[in-house]
This record gives sequence, C-alpha cells and structure tokens, in this order.
Amino acid sequence: MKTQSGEKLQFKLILLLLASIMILTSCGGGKKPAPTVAPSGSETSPFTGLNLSVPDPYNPPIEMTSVIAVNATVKFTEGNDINNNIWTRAYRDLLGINFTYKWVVDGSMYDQKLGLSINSGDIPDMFAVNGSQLKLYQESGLLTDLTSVYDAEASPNTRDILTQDPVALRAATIDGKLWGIPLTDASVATASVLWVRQDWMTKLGIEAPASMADVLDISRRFTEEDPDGNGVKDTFGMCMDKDLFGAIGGLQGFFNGYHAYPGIWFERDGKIVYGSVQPEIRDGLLALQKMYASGQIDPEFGVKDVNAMTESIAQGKCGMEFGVWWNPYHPLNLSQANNQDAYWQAFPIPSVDSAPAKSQYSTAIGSFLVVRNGYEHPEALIRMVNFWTDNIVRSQEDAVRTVFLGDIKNPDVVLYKYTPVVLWEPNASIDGSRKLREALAKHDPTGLNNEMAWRYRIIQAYFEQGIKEAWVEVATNGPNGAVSILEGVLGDYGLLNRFYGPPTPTMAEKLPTLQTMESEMITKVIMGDSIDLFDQFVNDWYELGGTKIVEEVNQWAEANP
Amino acid sequence: MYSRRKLINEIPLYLMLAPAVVLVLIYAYAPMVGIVMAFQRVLPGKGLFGSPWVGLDNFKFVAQMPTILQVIWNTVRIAGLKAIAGVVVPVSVALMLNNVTSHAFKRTVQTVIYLPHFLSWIILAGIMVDILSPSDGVVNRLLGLVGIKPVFFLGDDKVFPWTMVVTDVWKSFGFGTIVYLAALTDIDPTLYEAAVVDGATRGQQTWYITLPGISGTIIMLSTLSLSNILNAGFDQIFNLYSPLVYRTGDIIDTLVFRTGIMNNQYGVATAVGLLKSIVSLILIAVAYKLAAKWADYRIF
Amino acid sequence: MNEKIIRLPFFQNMLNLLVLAVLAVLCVFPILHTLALSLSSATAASSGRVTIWPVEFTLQSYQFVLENPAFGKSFLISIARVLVGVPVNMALTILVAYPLSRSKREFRARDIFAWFFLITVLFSGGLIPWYMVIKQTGLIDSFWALIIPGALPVFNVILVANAFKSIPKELEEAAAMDGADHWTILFKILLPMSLPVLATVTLFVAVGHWNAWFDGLILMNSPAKYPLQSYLQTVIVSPDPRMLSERDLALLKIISNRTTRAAQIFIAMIPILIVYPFLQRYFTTGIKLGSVKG
Repeated sequence: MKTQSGEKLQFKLILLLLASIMILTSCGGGKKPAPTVAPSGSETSPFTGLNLSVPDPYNPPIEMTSVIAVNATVKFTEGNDINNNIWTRAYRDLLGINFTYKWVVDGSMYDQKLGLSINSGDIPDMFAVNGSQLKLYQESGLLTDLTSVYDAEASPNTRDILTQDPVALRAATIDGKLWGIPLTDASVATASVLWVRQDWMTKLGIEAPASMADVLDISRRFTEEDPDGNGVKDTFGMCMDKDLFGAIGGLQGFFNGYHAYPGIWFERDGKIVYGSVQPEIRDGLLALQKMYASGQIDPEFGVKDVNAMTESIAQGKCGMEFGVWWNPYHPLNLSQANNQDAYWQAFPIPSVDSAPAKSQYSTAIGSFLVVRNGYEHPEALIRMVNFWTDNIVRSQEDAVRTVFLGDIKNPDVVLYKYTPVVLWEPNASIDGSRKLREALAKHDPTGLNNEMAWRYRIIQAYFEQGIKEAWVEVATNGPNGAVSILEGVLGDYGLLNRFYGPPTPTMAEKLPTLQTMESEMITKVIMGDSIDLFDQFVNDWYELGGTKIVEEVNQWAEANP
Repeated sequence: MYSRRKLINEIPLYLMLAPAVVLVLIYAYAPMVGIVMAFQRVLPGKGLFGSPWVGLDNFKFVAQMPTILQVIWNTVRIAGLKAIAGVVVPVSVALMLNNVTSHAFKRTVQTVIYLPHFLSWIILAGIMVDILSPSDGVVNRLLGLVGIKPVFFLGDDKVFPWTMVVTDVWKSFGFGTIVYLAALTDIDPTLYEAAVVDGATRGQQTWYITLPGISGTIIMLSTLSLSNILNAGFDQIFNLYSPLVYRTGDIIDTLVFRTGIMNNQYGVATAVGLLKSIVSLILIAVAYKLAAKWADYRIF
Repeated sequence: MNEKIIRLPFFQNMLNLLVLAVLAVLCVFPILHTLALSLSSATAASSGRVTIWPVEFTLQSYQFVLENPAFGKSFLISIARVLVGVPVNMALTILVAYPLSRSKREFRARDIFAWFFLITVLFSGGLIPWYMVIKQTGLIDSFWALIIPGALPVFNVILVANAFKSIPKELEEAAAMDGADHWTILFKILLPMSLPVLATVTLFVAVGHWNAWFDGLILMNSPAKYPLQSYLQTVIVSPDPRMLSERDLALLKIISNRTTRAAQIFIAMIPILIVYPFLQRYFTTGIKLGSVKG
C-alpha cells in the first residue's frame, strides 16, 4: 500500500509539472512583437499610397505552388503565417497570382525534402535549386525553358540587376537556353581581407602591414611579445582551424599574398588552371610551416573546428586572421568579452613582392528559380521577379521598405523571407556603403536611407560617445572598414573564380576525393612533414583525375567566355 | 486429428501476427523494391523503374575510390571494437551494480549512467576537444601526474580509433546496462542460495551462475549488433574527425558523405547500402549458426 | 528486488562502490557542464570560462528557445506522440513476440516469420522508396506518419520474445492443463512475469519517440506539425547581416548556438528525467516463484 500511494504521488507530481510547463510555454508564446505591418482584416489595402509599378494582374487569377526553406528565425505578426502574409497578398492582389506553398521545411532539410518530393512525383510549379540540381533536373526534362518569356517580359531593372554580375545569367544557361533565374548577391562579399588586433599593434608599436614580410613579422611579435600583457606566453600570431579554407580564419587570404589561389580556377598562359596545384602554393606552405614550427599557430588547429577557433578568438589567444568582411559581427566581436578595448582592423591583403596581391572570390550565385515543365504560366515568374526589382530592392522609399522588407523597429520580423523571389543587387551594398562613408566624411547623414542612416548613427556613437560595442560597425562599414577594401577587390585587387558552372562529370566523381587529399597534405606539411608531400600531391592530383577535370573545365570555358 | 488440432491451436498465433505483418509488408518490404536503384543511374522524377539501367557500374564506382579498402578496414575495426566493448562494459557494470546493497546508490548510478545518451555529438565535440587537448586537457593532465606523456587523442591517427571507441562506449553503456540488469533479475535466486550452501565464493557464483544466466541476452545483443557492423557511428566520427586522422578514422559513411554521393547519386548511395546489408546478413547468419552449435542458443 | 544479495567482503565492496562512483562522476560531469553552458552568456561560453557552474548567469538561452509559440505546439505534439506511440508499439511488439517465443512444435511456421522480420532490419531500399510508400499511404504531413511507419522496432521484439522464452515452461504447461488458451497464457502469465524487460522496452520506445527528429522534419509539410526535437533542430541563432539591429548585436553576446543548443538538450531531457525514476522500480522486480513450487 505504501508503494501504491507513493506511485500515485509521483504520478500526480508528473502531471503537475507537465501542466505547469504547458502553462508556462503558452505564456511565453504570448509575447509577440507589436505588429507594424498592416494586419490582415483591415479594410484598406496595405498597398494604397505606395508607388508601385505592376502590369495588369491575371484575370482570372492563376495558381502557383512553390516550396520554401525557413527556420525558427522566420517570424510572423499577428494573424499571418507562411501562406498568408504581405507577400502572398501582394502576389494575389497586385499580380493576380494565388501563391501557396506545397511544403515548408527547415533550411537544413531543403535539399533532401526537395529530392524526395520530386522523386515521388510531387513537383512544385516554381522552386529554387542549386547549380547541380539545375543541371540534373534540366537533363531529366523536368524544367521549362525560360528564354522566350525572359526576353519578352523582363523589365529593364531586372536585366540590369541580372547583368551586373556577368556570370549570373550564364550560370543558368545550358545549351544556349535560359533555364532558371539566378538569385544574385554580392560575390565579392566572399573575398578575404586581413584582420589584425589593432589594439595589440598599438601596444607593441607596430605599423600597418604593407607586405607579407610585415605579416610574418607581426605574427612573430604577437607570439613572442606578450601583447595581451598578462605575463604569460599564451598568444598565437594567426588563427586557423581544421577546415583550412572557411570564411573565418581561412588560409586562402594568406596564400593570396603569395599569389597562390587554392581551390579556384584562373587563367594562366592562355589556359585555365587549378590553383591548388600551382607552384606558388609551395611558398605559402613553407611560410606556414615555419610559423607553425615557431609556435605562431595553435598546435592543435588540426582538430579544432570553427567553433573551437572562435573560442580562441574570444579568449584573445590569436591576433590575426584572414576572413570576410562581416567577421566583426561574429566572431571577432567576442574578443570584447575579455577585453573592452579589443579592436580588429581590416587591411587589404599584402603581397610577398612588388606585384599587388589579389583576394580570391567565387561567384555567389547559389540558387536559381526554376519553373516545372508543363506549367501554363512560366512568365508569371518573370513578373514576380520584375515586381521585386522594379519596386522593392532598389527603392529608397522607407514606406515601401517597411511594408515589404521589414521594419527596423521590428527587426525580428524579416518580411522578405516569406518569398523565394529575392535577388540582391550585387553592387548595392558596396554602393550603399560608399554613400555611407561619404556621409561620414561630411558629417551629414541626409540622403541616406533608413538602414544606412541607422549605421551612420552607430558609427557616430563609437567616435562621439565612446560606445565600444559599436566598433563592429566601424570596422565593417566605417571609413577604413572592410567594405571599403572590397571596392578595391572588385577592381584590380581581386581574382574571380573563372569556373562558375555546375560540376563537370569527372569533377563530380573525383574532385571530392582530390580535395580530401589536398586537406590532408596541407595539414601535414604545415605541421612539419616534408614539403615533398606537396610535389607528390600535385603528381597524384593529375593522375587520379585532375588531368581530365582540367580538360573538361577548359572545354567549358570555351563555351562560356 | 493431431495436425488439425495443432492448426486450431496455431490460429490465435497467426491472428496475433497479422497486424504487424501487414504493417511490415507495407512499410518495410514495399520500400525494399527501391533496392533496384543500386543498378540504375537514378534520374529524378522518373519513378523507380524509369531510370536507365547501368548494371554493376555503381558498385564499380565505389570499388575504385582510392581509399575504399582502407576505409572499409577502418569501419570494421572501429565497429568491431565498439561491439566488443559494447558488451563487456555494460555486463561488467550490471554485475557491479547488482552487488550494491544500497538502493539509493544503485538507483542514482543507474540514472546517471543513462544521461550521456542524451547529449548530442555536436555538443560533445566541443567538450571533447577541450578535455582531450594535449596541452591543457584534463585527461592529459591526469596522465601527466603518473608520468605519461601527453597523447593527442583526437589528432594522432594511431590513437584516434580507440578514442572513438572509448567515448562512444561512455555515451551508450548506460543503455546496455539497463538491459542486462533486467536480465539479471531473471536468474533464479535459489541457485545462489544453493551455491552459498555449497560454499561457493562470489567469483565462482558470478562465473557459474550469473554469466551463464545472462549468456542468452549477451549472445542475442551481440548478434544483433552485427547488423550494425558497418555503421561505425557517422554522427560521432563526423563531428570529431579531421584531415589529420582520415587514414584511420574515415569510415564508409563519412567517405560517402564527403564525396557528395548523397546529393544526386542516389544509385551509388543505394549500392553502398546494399553492400552493407549483404555483409551484415552473412555475419549474422554465421553468428547464428555458431551460437546454435556452441552455446546451444537460438535467437528464436 | 533482489533480496538475496549477499554482501561482498568489505574491501571488494569498497572497490565496487568506488569504480561505480567514478563512472557516475564521469557521466555527470559533462551533463553539469552542458547545464552550466545553457545558463551562461555566449561570451563566457565561447571564451571557455564555463566549467560546471554558470558564468554570467542568464536565462536568455532558454527564453530564446521557449518564447517561440512553435515550442509549445511541438511539445504537445511530442507528448501526444509518446502517449499514442508507446501503446501502439508495445502492443504490436508483444503480439509478435509471443508467437515467436513458441517452440517449433507449437508453431511450425515460427522460423519463417522470424526471418520475415529479421530481414527488414538488414535490408532497406533507402530514403526515396520509404518516402514514396508513406506518401502513397496518405501519411505525409499527418501526425500518424510519426507513429505508423516505425511502429515495430524488431530489436524490441527480440528482447521481449527472449523474456517470454525464459519463463519456466512448467508454468505454461500447468496453465494449459487448466484449459488456458494462448491469450490467457500471454496476459495472465507471461506479461506479469516479464515486467522488467517490458519496463525496459517501454522506456526505450518512449525515449525513442521523444528524441526522434528526422522523421518529423522530412515527413511534415510545415513546421507547425513538427514534434519537439524536430522543432529544436531548427532553432539556430543566425543573424542576417543585412538586417542586424542593435538588439541583435547585444543579444549575440548573450546567446549563441552553443548556449541555445545546450538549453535545447535540457528542455528535451527534463520530461525523461521525470518519468525515468517512475519506471525504474520495474527494472528490478523479480520473478515471483511462489506459483511454481507445487
């Protein structure tokens, strides 16, 4: 009997706990951001008063199904959800397209779900694919040729944006026909710059690095001269991790200083060659090997992934890293955790000799919008793209941006995530940033749109009010920020990956294996194995499929000038 | 007469099996038809039989991957070690727990050892890199106290497979322990009483009563684990490996993952799955026969 | 309860307890560390200052995970999944285990069915045909997709069948002579005497359903239908550099993927920790042998 009542008690406790959890969570769920977008159910259309240019809507309205990837960061205001929001209403009321999603899935599962859906016969009318999916689905006859509808209906804005990146439309063209609309973005954003702990440089009296020799010297001094002033020799010159070529602490910037371009294709003596097997890599490797041997690189980098490296940065253990423009937002901002005065400054990549270094980058076209074969209205996609390019992405009107992109006052609700038709102007952020720097120089923010004005204020806060957290904005968009360096990269100081198509047959088969060999070789050589491993690697690379891949790439390049 | 009565006796058994059989036919056997993809170059949207047939090409593709033999060996080695440790450790712990008189202690330990099961390898990866660090990790510091030089557990390719086995056993031994504890309760206590009367020591009791008593469970779990022999633990290895240890740590699943086979080459992925299944089948059949012969034990 | 535990000699007993205690600590330490991470700020977590105690205590990581209304919904879906899935699984498991535990004389087709089920453990057509079948049977985007396709884990069948087989034959024969049929033997004799294994299997099934995340993500057509672990997989801290606000920047110092993942693990673990001791008492219930003698 004793156990029985004991059991009952435990059971009741469990029920109580479950009940309280449910109550708590429904309370938590009540905390929603104040709606600033016109809520559904209002009498007036949210679009009145906005200066929009649209063609006549379809009458009767047409149906279009699609699919999309979201995650928990995609939020809605009261009464809205993924199939009922400002964008679905815009498509319906302004364009005459009844837009619904067949399914919505978490970003990490998008490729798998799309593959399963299509393989089981469930093909959406319009959807986003990556380069290899584009090729595969086109080959299987699942897509509609968009050439004629693009020629007939693409607006001037659309054409302009899609041609800013010369590679964009070409990447979507197979056998001379256009099979998808590329979702453009700023490719140059993936180029590396050199980030250095400015506060350490100041402390040790080091000047801005102008050459790779300077870089090596800084690395040595950061390791030996106790820049964090704690009396312990616990700092490394340079941060890197086991992935070798990530967006944070990646080595591609370092190699670029030696005119070596790992992982990309470029022209040399009239042919297209692969960067990882060029002789310049050798010089970069030897330099890294020396750095490792003198303790300037974390001896455990080979097992540390980007999270572990982030920790090193947060702990103030390393002082230089080659990374992309947005690194101050994450993870460099974490340096401030242990040291209020931590400040990372961006520098263009220095060179090992008198020829200026070029920062390598690849095209940022990851996705294409396609239409399935048999859909009656492929031109509807072009109209949706036009709507975006004509009215939204270039608009400086805050009213429009607030309705369709998101309200700065309500940053959780990111409206443009509700639709897959989102193209960014490749040059826009560079241009916007330039305007911002001009405004800063003049101390006059008039003429800046909401977003830039807000950044202007943050940068001012750093200089005028000494708000140290604001350094991230100064380091990126400020006068000597990373973005200003990217302008140079777009010009003469950058090298764009010549190859931007879907993987060639041998590439798909063999390149991953070759990349594994490459990572192993680089890691081992840096950690002390003989540089002969590199020569051996180059040999093996060609033998195990590299020659064929080079051939295919050159063939492709001829067809894609 | 005899067989008709037998049939009537068997009818309830068939009834009991019926729902499960239907379920399994639909959700396990029907999908098995998809194994044909191992012999096709799978084009999307064409259905299971619309893609072009390529015979054994997918298998040839797998066979010609440069490191495939090394990778298969790595997989078998790691999975094999895990299987052995996965029996020895839980059995030992179950035996030890069985000897504990304090119910509170027993219950606490039982609960606590099950907890690592809930931690994902993603979060464990971060923890492991820290504690296994050769410069300032806890484990190496303890080793240093007894004069052992620091070991690069995650970066030394000679040590890496053992690291994988030990950490995986740590994470999952709680599960097996529970099963063996349950099996221990099946042993007739009167056997122990008789043994004590005969003057048997603790050790003799364990050897002659306990172990044979749970030998059925041990054999059963071991044989079943053979079905996993080529799954050396993708989740764990993927989160903990690095180019430094590819030589001994790369397993079939990580190789397949890295070479992007999953993405569009469903045919090759199915071929790999089929190969794994066949190997498991052979091993289980062999183990089944051996167990029946030596230990007079059948799973069914 | 094993009332007949004979005490170990002192030294061996101490050694036994010591080893177990060390194992327990080895298991507890990372749990405490994860708990501490979930209650610490991101900067503290990233700079390695957290060991087993929270540094810069904050509940923001939990808040981040819990405040999304999707959390509450997915939590309820998982509860429903366990409440429905456990009885369904256990019923099917027991119904299959019983015939398979009969002797070859009693059930001549036994080996055929045994291999019928065993083969499904070894061979699979892969993800695509599985998805297609689920689609054809109309379960995509349905709650039942979480229950039906996986309703018979063969491993559990084997465990239970073995438990049934180890019950002394005499009990069944005695009952049969009293006119008991298969159903009676199953319910009145075998089930009550196999409680430890049944409790174990129940626990595994419950935990399996509670922790499953992949099927929810791939079989549902909208996040509104995700069970808890599927939803938790989607909770990432990913600031969009385009729309970063001051609040975001400040927030990024407090929460990060590391701390939110740690919080997720605990949120998911808590119900198990509550239910587990409840089931634990059954793991060590012994065989009641009274009925055998005589």
